[in-house]
Amino acid sequence: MSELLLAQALTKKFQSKTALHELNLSVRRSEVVCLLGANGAGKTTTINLFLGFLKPTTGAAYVDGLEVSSNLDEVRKKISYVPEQVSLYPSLTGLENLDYFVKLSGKRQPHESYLRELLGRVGLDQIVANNRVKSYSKGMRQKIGLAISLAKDAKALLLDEPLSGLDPSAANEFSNLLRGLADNGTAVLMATHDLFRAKEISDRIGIMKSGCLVQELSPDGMDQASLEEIYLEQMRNSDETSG
Amino acid sequence: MNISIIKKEFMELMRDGRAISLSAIVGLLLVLALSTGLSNERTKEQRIFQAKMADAEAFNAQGEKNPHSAAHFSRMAHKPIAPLSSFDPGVSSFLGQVIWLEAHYRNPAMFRAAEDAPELSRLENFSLAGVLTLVIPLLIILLGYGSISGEKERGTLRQLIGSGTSLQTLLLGKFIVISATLFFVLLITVSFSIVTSIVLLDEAAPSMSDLLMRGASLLSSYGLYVLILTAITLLVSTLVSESKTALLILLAVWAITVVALPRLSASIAEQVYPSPHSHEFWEATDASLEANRPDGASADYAAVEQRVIERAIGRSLEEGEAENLSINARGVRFEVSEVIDSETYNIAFAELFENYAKQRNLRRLLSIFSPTIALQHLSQAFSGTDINAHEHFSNEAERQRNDIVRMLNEEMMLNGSGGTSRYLAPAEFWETVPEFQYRQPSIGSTWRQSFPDFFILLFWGWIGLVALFLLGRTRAEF
Amino acid sequence: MKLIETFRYEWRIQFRNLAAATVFLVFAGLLFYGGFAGKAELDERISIIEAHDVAVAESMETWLSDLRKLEQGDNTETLSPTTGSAMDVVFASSLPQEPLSDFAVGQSDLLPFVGEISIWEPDIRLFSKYEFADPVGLALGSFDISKAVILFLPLLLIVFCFDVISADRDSNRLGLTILQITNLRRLFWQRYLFRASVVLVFTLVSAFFVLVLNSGNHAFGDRLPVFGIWAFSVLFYGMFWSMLIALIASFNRSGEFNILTLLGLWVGLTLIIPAAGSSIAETLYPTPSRLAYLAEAREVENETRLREADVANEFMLDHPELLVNSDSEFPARVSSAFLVTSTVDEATRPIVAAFEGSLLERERVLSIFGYLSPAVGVHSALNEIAGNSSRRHQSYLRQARRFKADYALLVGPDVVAKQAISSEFFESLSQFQFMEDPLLGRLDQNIRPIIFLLSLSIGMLLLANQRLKAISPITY
Repeated sequence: MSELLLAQALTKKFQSKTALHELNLSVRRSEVVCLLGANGAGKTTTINLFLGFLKPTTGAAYVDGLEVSSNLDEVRKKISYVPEQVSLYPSLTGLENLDYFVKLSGKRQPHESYLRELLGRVGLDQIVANNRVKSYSKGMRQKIGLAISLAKDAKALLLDEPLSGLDPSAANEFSNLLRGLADNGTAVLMATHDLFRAKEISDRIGIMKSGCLVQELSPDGMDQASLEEIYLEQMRNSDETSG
Repeated sequence: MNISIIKKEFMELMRDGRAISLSAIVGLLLVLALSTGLSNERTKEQRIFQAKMADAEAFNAQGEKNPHSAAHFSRMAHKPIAPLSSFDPGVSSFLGQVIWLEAHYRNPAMFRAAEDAPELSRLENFSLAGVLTLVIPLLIILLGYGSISGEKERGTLRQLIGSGTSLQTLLLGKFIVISATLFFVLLITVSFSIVTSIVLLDEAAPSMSDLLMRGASLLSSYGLYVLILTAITLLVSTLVSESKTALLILLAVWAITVVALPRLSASIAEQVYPSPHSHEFWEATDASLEANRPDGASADYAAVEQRVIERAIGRSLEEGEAENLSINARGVRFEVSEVIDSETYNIAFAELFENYAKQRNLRRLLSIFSPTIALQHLSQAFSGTDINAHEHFSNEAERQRNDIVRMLNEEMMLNGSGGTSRYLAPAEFWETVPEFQYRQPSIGSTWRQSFPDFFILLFWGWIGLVALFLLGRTRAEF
Repeated sequence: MKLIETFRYEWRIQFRNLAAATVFLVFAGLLFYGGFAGKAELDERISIIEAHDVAVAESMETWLSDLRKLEQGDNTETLSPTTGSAMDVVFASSLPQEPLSDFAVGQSDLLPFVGEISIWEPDIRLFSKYEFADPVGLALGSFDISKAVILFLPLLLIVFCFDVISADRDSNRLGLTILQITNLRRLFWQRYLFRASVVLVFTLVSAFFVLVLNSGNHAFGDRLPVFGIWAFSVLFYGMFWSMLIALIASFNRSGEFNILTLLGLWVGLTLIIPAAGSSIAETLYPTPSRLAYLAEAREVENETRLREADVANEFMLDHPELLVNSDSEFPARVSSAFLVTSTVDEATRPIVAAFEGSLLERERVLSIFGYLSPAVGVHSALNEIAGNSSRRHQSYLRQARRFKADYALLVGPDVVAKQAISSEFFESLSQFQFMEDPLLGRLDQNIRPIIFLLSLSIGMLLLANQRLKAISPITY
């Protein structure tokens, strides 16, 4: 199948609360899919289910044809992940953190030149890379996180609110990198609040509300205002339905 | 605004499952410590009573006997249970229980109870005081480590400061809640101890008012300790940004100041002022005895002899009267040697206790690194289980020994004329020898000896509170 | 990631900083001070034993010389009337100091390890030459390297190992780490193995330095095998704590939770359970009253003196071969003293037996606590390895009493008959020799709790390993 990420009737309940209700979603190779929604919509839960950090209540998540819950180790070799807060080892430099996480994946024994090339690809200044991470801004940490993902050379990349807290220039740079990755064949699934960036880089947008995927659309040929209108309409509709 | 902070802190405390479960565990430990302590003290008290009866019986049943032989058989002085030993047994298990009031020898107390205790008891002291000293700091750390650092992590500190509360006010509120909670635990524990001690009171025990004052003194000392630890905990919590780091630092401080330093200080004190071993002590004492005994023909000897005879006959001697007195010369010689040797023994034992005092003073000095050392001194002193209490008992027992031996020697002197030691006192005579009426030292004398330790705790408390106050005023970054 | 790379990063992150260096320095300081203090105590004991042996040898040399003069009829007018009396023979007795005696003071600061054996003294006063050691130091317990290990090794392991996973969790790195490593269990154990090994190796190396520095009283070759047993005990202790910490860490809770739980376990297992155990054992099986023992001894002494003639007659009836030497100048008080002492010892023998009985019962109760806390078993084992356990001291006291009783049996008739013993007879007398139980036999009582706790350690390891399969950075 060309769908690298597939959710089939994926449901997750936490005691009495339904965090995700029968999600059906797919992300193909070279595709960027953004999940939009308010806090508590189920975006992060979706990401965590694909990562195997949560077990589904019903339904299943698949990565490259493998069911996630029963093939955790294999699945995790095929995906990489950039969390909202990329936390690193403060006493190590950016380069050393990258070296450490790359080695953890066991994929290769990276040469320093390779690591520096990765950092270059994500736009992190080489001098900055030699500084300890405790002095880094959020944007710099996100870049290290992305470099770690690049090194893994995984088939799918999952990101959870990677642009939150980034200034417009850093967000722009990051978005371009993601688009570049997708163009090279990676399937990208990103949870975000940022309507503008979602429209800019994604091939499809999924609007989520109260654990449900309420609308899936392609932003092609749509302007920003229209997308916003659709989004707000969905939020209002859902409120009326539930109200 | 302070009241709101205090109310909110108490509410959080009551809802904190960890605090409640830990308090329950501590409560259980205290109950167990109190009940085993009480049971052991009750057993000891009964044994002492029975031993005193048996000793009196044995002494009174000597039949016709030479008084000097009886002076060797002599009586035993039994050390009573200290007023608050169920709270803090102190060092009483490591000092003897009974002194043999034998003629010619000032004996140290025999039978250290610790020699019969399981060797595991050397690892830690399971008494109320032991549990409080060990666990109270942990409780304070648990309640307070995240006080300020936790607020920083949650972001609520900035909100609080931003809403007009000063850091000082916040610190004061948290300080009051933590220290009041622990003080309540102390109050319950010490009160229980006092009540049970009242039940166990014997004739050697101090008065009820003395006992109550001891309880109040203990409460003050432990209360100061609580204030000191609360201040240190809040200081660390304020200075450090992460709760976990604050917890680690405080636990390191606890391990060093509560567990390691008291033991180390005792070890260091022993290295600097080594206690004599028995052969050293007795060799030195024997040498002093030999050196201090004047020649039988010397003027010094004659002076003591005169004093001894005058005391026996109850009047002054006239010039040259001594040679013509109908008095047992052997008895006189026994008593003269007793008087002379007694002075030497008193000096030897005074030096021994002086050495213990030097060790204590060195430990006091080291308590600038650990208030626990000063607290342990105070706790033992007010419980009546420290070395000073033992020294008091030892000196009183020596006074009793001097009285008994003098009485027996005088019986021989006055009624055993003929100059030999063949005189046999009648069987009824032994019952006239007075019982040892020992009264434990008063709280007043205890305070006089212990004030430096209390001052050290006061100093620690003052430093802690001033540091906290200054930090509260000057801390600008949140 | 290769193992060596994991170790390299762990070293960099965990140990290559000022805080870690300070902690290790302080710990090393405690170990070395413990070693120094233990050595000082051992040196003192040895010098006391040597001085005692010399003093007794000198006094017996004088006694023998006087006896020879008496036998040769040489200057007899200067001799004491009791010259040649078996009563005046004194034997030196001491508890030999084991090769690793400096590693644990044990009960040697409290219980007798040296003393004169003389039939002038009843058993109750045999070792009553009171020691004047600082009671505060005794109450707080001696500080030696074994005590430092029992108390502080678990703390060190906790400090360095509690956050093997929780550090990532608390810093929100866990998700990324899991994604990279895929097999978190392997990473967990690699990190854990490294950290625990650093702590344990540091401890053993420091102890080895103490072993080398403190050698002097015993040959290094004698100390090394015993040190091996000591090191194994410490390793076992460290292993138990390592597995316990690993189990708590595998619950994937926050670092704070781990510290608090582990600290609670440390207080409970290292301090409360041992102290409570000994307190409970004492309450359930109190030793007979020493005061009652003393009272009984005095009562018998009194009675014996009152019916001295009867006692002497009874003795003569038991020894019909005896012929009292009516020409002897031995004062009557000598044979009186012997009869009184023997009678007191005979009468109080059941009390002594009761003491030993209650000690045995208490040991039995305390052995149960050995199953609850590794500190109980290890404390006992380390004291036993150093030769300073209660058991060994009690054995010494028992043997000394028995030696005295045997000597009294041998020479009693001569004393009562007012007969002097000959110099040949004196020279044929054997000196006190402590009969040692082999070390491994003495450690026998510790084996079962140790095996139990070893099994528990393996159980905890398996459980932790199982729990690690399901670790997620999301907890709810």
